[in-house]
Amino acid sequence: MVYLDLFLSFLKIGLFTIGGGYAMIPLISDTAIGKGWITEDLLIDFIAIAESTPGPFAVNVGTFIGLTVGANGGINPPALGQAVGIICTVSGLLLPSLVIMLAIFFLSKKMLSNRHVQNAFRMIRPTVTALIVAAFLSVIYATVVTKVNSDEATFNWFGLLWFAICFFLTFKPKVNNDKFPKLAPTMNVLNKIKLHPILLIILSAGVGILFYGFIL
Amino acid sequence: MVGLIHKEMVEKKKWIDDEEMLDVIAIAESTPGVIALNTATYVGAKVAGVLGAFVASIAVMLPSIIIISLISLAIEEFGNNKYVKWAFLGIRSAVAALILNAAIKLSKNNEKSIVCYCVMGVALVLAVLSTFEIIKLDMVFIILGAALFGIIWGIATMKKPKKEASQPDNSANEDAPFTETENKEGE
Repeated sequence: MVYLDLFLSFLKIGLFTIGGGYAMIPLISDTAIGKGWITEDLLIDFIAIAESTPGPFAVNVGTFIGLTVGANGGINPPALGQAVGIICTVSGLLLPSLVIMLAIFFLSKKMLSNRHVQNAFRMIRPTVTALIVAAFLSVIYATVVTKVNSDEATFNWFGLLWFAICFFLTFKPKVNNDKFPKLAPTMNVLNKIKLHPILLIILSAGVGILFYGFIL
Repeated sequence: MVGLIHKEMVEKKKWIDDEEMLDVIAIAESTPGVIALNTATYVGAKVAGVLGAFVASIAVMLPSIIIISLISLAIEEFGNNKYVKWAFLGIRSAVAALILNAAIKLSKNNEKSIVCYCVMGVALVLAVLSTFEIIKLDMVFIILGAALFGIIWGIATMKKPKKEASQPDNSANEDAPFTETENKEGE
């Protein structure tokens, strides 16, 4: 039953999303693409939508996947299936938060300062970083080797170039200027540019239409 | 989001005070689960018990559910439009940059020690192999393996005197996460 599968998958994602937001991307792509629920291209498009709409990122992505998968889950009419799908994913995400936070609230905040819990988190943090880096590698691969106005995936050099520009527009290096005095002017310029993610996404949409549609 | 929470919860409704808010956010960020839902559950529980926690967290999710449902209708309608496709192709580069930035930002909170770098390296290799479907391994087991290793490492380094603890750093931590995650792989 796909609805039970949705609930359990998002329960797992909710339980292992530590550090919020982008930390869930590796888990989501692992599960949703692995099970054939959505394609990687659609997931990347959706990360952009979830980032530029209000509301918690995880709930946005969960709603979207619940809705997409639930529509073809066997419940008639499809609109009802979508609603059930959303309820499954969202309640899966909510359950770990509810149980763990209520336990902390009613039992004790000291649970978190337990030595073993602290030691576990010490190693979970770098691991989550590594998982996000892996997710990044997968997205950049899907950007650089992709179908541009053809049915065959080719090397998309503009995707790589625009990625580099986007990265430098949003990158905030916290480098000690006294240590590297020669780099200081560059770092200051980078730190001065403030581009909100939503603006970056809108800008990229415009650049995408202009370049992929009319120049390439 | 933190700014908004402060304005509503602390200034307007006076449900929690400044200090408690910092506490809640620190807890919400370091426990499993979606941060916004964690915060809502905690504040809800404080104001109105279990029912309050339930109502607050559902209320946090409602706008998302409504907005995304509407957007997905639009995607169905315009998803195959060529301009939309070009736009999303451009956006893909931006998403890659945002994810890389998130990783860099997150890595700043990591402990700067050899063990942690080794764990990160091993996790990265396993995650990349799994992402590109070279090996079949659930990401969850990488996180579980790291947690288990952290607990074992904590116990192991606790008992040893400091002199010894600094030496076996490399040999011990390179094997440990591997064997843990590989054991689980077979399940």
